Amino acid sequence: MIIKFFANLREITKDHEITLKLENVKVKDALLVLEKKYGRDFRDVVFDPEGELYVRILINGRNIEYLEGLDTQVTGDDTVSLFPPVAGGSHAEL
Amino acid sequence: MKGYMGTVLRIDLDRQNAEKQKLDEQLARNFLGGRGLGAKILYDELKSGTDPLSPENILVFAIGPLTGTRTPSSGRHVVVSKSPLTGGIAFTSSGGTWGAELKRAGYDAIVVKGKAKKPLYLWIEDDEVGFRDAKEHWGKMISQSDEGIKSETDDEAKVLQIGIAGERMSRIAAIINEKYRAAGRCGLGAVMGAKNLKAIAVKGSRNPEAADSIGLTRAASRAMKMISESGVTKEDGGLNSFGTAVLTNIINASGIYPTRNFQTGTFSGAEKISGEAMAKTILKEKTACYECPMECGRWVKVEKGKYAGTEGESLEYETSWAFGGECGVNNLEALARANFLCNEYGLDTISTGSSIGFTMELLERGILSKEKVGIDLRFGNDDAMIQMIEKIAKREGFGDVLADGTKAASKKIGKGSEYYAMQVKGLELPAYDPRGAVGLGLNFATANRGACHVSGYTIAAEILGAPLKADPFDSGESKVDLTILFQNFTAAVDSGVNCLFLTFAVGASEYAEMISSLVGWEGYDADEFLRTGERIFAIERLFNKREGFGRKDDTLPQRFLKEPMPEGAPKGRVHPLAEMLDIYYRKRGYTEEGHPGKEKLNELGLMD
Repeated sequence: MIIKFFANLREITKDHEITLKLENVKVKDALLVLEKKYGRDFRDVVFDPEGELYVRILINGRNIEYLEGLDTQVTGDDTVSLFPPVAGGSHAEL
Repeated sequence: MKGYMGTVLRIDLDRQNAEKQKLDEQLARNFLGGRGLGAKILYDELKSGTDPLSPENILVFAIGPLTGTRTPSSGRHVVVSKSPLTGGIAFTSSGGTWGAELKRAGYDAIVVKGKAKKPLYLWIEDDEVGFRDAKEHWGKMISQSDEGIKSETDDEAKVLQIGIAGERMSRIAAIINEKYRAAGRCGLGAVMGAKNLKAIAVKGSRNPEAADSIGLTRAASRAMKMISESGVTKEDGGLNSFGTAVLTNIINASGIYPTRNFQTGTFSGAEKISGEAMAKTILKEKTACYECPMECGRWVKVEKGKYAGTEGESLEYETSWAFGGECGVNNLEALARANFLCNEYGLDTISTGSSIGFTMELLERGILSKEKVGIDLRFGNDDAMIQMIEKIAKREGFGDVLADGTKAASKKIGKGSEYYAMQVKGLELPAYDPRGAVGLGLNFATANRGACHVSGYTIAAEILGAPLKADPFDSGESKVDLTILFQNFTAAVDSGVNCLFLTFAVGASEYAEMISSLVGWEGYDADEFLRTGERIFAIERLFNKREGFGRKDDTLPQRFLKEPMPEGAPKGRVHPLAEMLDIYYRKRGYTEEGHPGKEKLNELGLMD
């Protein structure tokens, strides 16, 4: 599967895009592989101090929030895109 | 009434007369300022059916109570008029510091009527208002006339002006301030041109007072803190690090980055023209508007190659898209050049890029020929794109056809070209394909000035996930509610007047707190702020109703209703507008024709 990193995430990964040889895993499993590769800094950016997902993760352009979240299945043909919050991240109420 | 300067400046260009009028407090509380105040003045004073380019049209430059205060991002001003591009209400805003300077000069708004016999500009220095001959500046590039007018007035004056495009009454002409900032949309540069009004230079020496200075400091500090904590608005956050072009990659990855005139939503060249690419190449420094900690502006410089020498504040997301994905161009330096030329000639970048992309598709489909267009304007040809910008600004050759936007151009071209004009109510679409963000599509269809993303930026919830989260494909009642909420909130923010980007971090409660401590209105709260936005949206509707607008105009280009998206996450989807529109009208208290109903008008105090 192809993993793409955007915006400030690239400062940690130094990669824009990598290919992982993984088949039929859950998103959270793929994140563990990435954490192993990029270290603790990567985890600290992906999750907030409360352990909640902080970045936006798209599978083939679809936000995992509208799929099965971190349990969403990813196949070898999928593209996974990771973005830090490029808008919001605040607790402001309209 | 604190916070306001309490004065509306009335300019009669026919008689070269300036009069000062007291700003009514109830009017201010009902419509705030900026967009709301302008809409109210237009509704009350402009006869329906007025030709937007006639002397009778009214041009309002308005700021709000928050403008020029210590509240964050408060340098913006709004221009309101009847649009020569759409024939309906136009409001368009710009950043920088001109709005704050107008406040320091002692005014909440300038209302311009009539037409000068010869080109002139206004020089406003506190109470003094002068009508100056603009002969020396007419026909000059924006940077030249900015310097020229300052040399005749004051080096520290802030200059707002039109360029050659506005002088030649291009219906996609912008009003530029401080060389690089544009009130771009709806063609109001042409209204200034039609009035022979080249520029308004302002310098002031006063400061607005606050009713509760300590309370205002507290409210402004709270807003600043929220900005400093938000992932987007904080220092080294998304906007600060990469500018608004941080959106390029996420919108493209979401499959809604309009490509080659909205034929698809995925552009293979997106990475090359993204905010990330800019930061590593042509970006020289970050820039900011008045009292803004976000610093989302970009100062870019092209140092080598065929576009060397291009330098200035440049390349917002929408602009980089309009000449990038829309025209199939993946050369960042060419986009910087295109932006530079639009600033120098005074053109709206979105409508200009869209008009060129439209022509590119017509050439590709054989509806137009290269001979007819005069240059090889195929997708991806950056040289031809750059040439066409100059032709549009000067109304040369085929540029004369495009200078009035895609709707008018398609009427002249015929042969089914209307289908490829990506506009609503005459205003060209910005950088999001509505097939994959249906709330934004509903907003495009219903926004009072036409296909406008900043009338109800539901992308914040649908794609970016903040401050609310919403599935971009959901078209149910909650999505309609979301669209209405964003539209009302934005109408109030545009009347406040602060930068809309503040809303990524700050909500209605914070706005209400800032306004109440500044102005001193008893009981002013978030509900009243949002209700004010609803009232402003409704009076714009009433203006448009009088001009003949209705349900037939609340639509989207047929492409989005008929052609399924060919690839990406929204593959196979069209926009479900029909099923959403009835719900939208019902929830707004509007009739089936899309006009505010009697009950709603009563509720909003608009029955008179």
